[in-house]
Amino acid sequence: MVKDVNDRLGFDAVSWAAREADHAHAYDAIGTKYDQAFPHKEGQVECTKRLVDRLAPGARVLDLGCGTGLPTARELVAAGYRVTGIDISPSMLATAQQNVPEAEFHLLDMVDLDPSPDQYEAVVAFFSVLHMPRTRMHEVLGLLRGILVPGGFLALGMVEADVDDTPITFLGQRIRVTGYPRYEFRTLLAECNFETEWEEVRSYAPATVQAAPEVQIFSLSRRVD
Amino acid sequence: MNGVPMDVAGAGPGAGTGPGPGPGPRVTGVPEAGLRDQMLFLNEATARIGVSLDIESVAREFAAALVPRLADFATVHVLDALLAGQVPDPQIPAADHAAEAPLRRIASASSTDDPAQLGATPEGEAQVMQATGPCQLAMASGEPVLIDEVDPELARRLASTHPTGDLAAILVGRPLLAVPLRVRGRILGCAALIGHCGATFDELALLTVRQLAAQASLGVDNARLYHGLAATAEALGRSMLPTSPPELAGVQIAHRYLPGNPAIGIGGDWYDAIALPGSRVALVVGDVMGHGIRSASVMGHLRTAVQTLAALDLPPEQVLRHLDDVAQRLGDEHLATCIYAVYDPVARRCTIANAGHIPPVLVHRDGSSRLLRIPSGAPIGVGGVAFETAEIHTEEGDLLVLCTDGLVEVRGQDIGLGLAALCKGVADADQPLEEVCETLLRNLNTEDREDDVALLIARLNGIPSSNVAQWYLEPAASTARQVRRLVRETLAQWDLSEHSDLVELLATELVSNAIRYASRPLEFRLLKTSSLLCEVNDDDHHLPVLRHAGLADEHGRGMHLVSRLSSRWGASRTNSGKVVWFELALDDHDSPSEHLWSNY
Repeated sequence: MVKDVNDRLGFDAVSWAAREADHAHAYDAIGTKYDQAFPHKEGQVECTKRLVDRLAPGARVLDLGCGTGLPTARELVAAGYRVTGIDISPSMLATAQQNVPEAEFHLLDMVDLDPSPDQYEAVVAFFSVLHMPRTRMHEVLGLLRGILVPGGFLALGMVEADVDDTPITFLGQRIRVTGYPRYEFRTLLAECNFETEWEEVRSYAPATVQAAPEVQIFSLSRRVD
Repeated sequence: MNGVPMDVAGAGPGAGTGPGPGPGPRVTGVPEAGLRDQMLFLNEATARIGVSLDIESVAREFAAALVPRLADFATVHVLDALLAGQVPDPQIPAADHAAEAPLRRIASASSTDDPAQLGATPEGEAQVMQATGPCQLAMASGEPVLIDEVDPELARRLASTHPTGDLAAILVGRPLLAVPLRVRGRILGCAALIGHCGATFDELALLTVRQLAAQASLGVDNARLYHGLAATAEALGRSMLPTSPPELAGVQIAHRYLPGNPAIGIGGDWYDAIALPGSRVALVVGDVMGHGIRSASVMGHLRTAVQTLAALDLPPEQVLRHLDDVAQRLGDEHLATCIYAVYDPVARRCTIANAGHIPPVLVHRDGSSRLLRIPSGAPIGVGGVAFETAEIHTEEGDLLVLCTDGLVEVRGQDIGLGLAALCKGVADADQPLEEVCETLLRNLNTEDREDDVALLIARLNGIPSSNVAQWYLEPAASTARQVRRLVRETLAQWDLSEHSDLVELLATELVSNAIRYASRPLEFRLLKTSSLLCEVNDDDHHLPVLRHAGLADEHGRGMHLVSRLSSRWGASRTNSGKVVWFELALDDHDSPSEHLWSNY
């Protein structure tokens, strides 16, 4: 099925795999440098807290692009959820496994997620969906909506920008990023049948000169039916 | 007129051959039997007069030698122009042009310490000599003028142009001798001697005074030449180093320069603080090998080269690599050590590269400090050696201390001891920066050093990330619209909505220019400090220029708008394209841009 979608959107499975391999390789190289460059994740922590305020313990939560598992997977486990983390970087996943042994981790591209319905009460995706090109954004958000229970939560962290699948140098690695201005991002979520409950925009200056200051958008929305 | 120019050489047979016995009355002066004593006196006086390279000291020694041995009272005057560092006119000031050549009394001596005498002739006072008086006459003729006894009429006349005290009362009935100070064909000033009532200056006294005057003239002229040279070197030095540090957001800078040879006033050490796009700053300290004027001129070349390279906004290791190339092209003697650091107040990071220079020191607010052991490449000008950039994390209020080895190197002592002293040299990082500089120089005891010292201290205050907003924007027809919305929302967050219309307008101009040629995403940045900075980075290398747009031209008006309505604006190349920026003053509500804008 995924293959069919790729064909329809102009990505063949081979070129997509090559692209995701590049990304995986970049994040393998970045490794723990990521947490050093982005040490204060107040916005992300705040967004997670908003989710925890709304979500009963025992809920199933998917951490999409979980990275090193810190701080989010760790906090979600601490809040009493059943946490599944996926990432495309084996090295990041190995670190996450050590950081958060209570969670379950899989090496998986988000576009290859099992699309079965009602798997999770919440999906969190901090700075991972931004690696999708705009042509696949509706598809990915639709997929996330599909695996959520009705009324399920989507917590997202994005970098505000107006770019589509643009290669940038990030911590010395080439990666591709997509971004929306905040108002267009709200529209995108609405188009994908998510209702925004909370949003915060904040400036963030990485603790490195290898990544530019950025404006981050955190949003917590619900699947509407 | 009872004063006449005297030519001592023509005053009598043998008079010009030396201070031997001669005819004439001998009332004031030296007894014949005291030839040995006279020689001793002359020896000692000429030595004292000749020792100084300072015009005033020379004059004071001269006056001190005249009194009381040769006169009761003596004053020394030099042309005011001379003290101001000007070269005196070789033309002897003509009597009728006296007003154009004011003199300044720089020494005054009296045998009696009579307050009336000293009060009438205070040192440091400017005065125009009476046009037909003995002093003016002596300067006009170049020869001494002797008046055996000042009569009341002359006393009154001389006092008429004398601004202080009762000069007439001092002069009446006394002998007066005016001696020109003359050397190398120029008149520099004159000395006035007043003797005892009823006595006069004899030939020996006259010869002695002339000899001392010649010595004093030589001393004054040497001092003048020396100070002229020193002033030239100092002016050269001043023009080669920044005078006052730039005022920047998020970082404070102070610097000091102490020449190893104060006579030259400039050496091979230099420092610089260069503002870069994105409110970053490049901090530079360098040290050309060798001393003196030659290394100073090499320093001038290298400093200019660093300024030029810094404007390209290259990473530190590349700046040093290019500087190395430039130095090798300039010549064999262009060898220098250099530190190039860039402070980013938003990221609170320093990137530093080092070309064989002593390491910088980072001082924290708690007083702890450390040497930044960054990889040190070979000195500039050696060639073929790679440089590395180190990235250093800094906290708010840290001090970055860059200096040259003149501050820490003591002959015969390991430089490690000096570096350790440098680390401990800043006792209180919260002191005003100028005081930190002074304390450091004092603590490191720079009194008896022979090398130049350059010191640059930066207080790294940082800019809170909440005052920065930066976006990547794909160049498209819709980009200007996106930018206007981002500006509006961000300025609302920053409580600066009153500036929104203007910033939206000007940002639109910058972005519209950028999207015409850019192929990669633009970087649009807003930064709030005491002013609001708006920057657009793109990957096109052509800088905008202010040009006249003709009636039919579609483009060419935008930058005029930016130039007229912003407080400042600028454009510079970056390693990937260019950055164009403008700034609005936030605290000054009377800025011209506000007025202009209110007309729209």
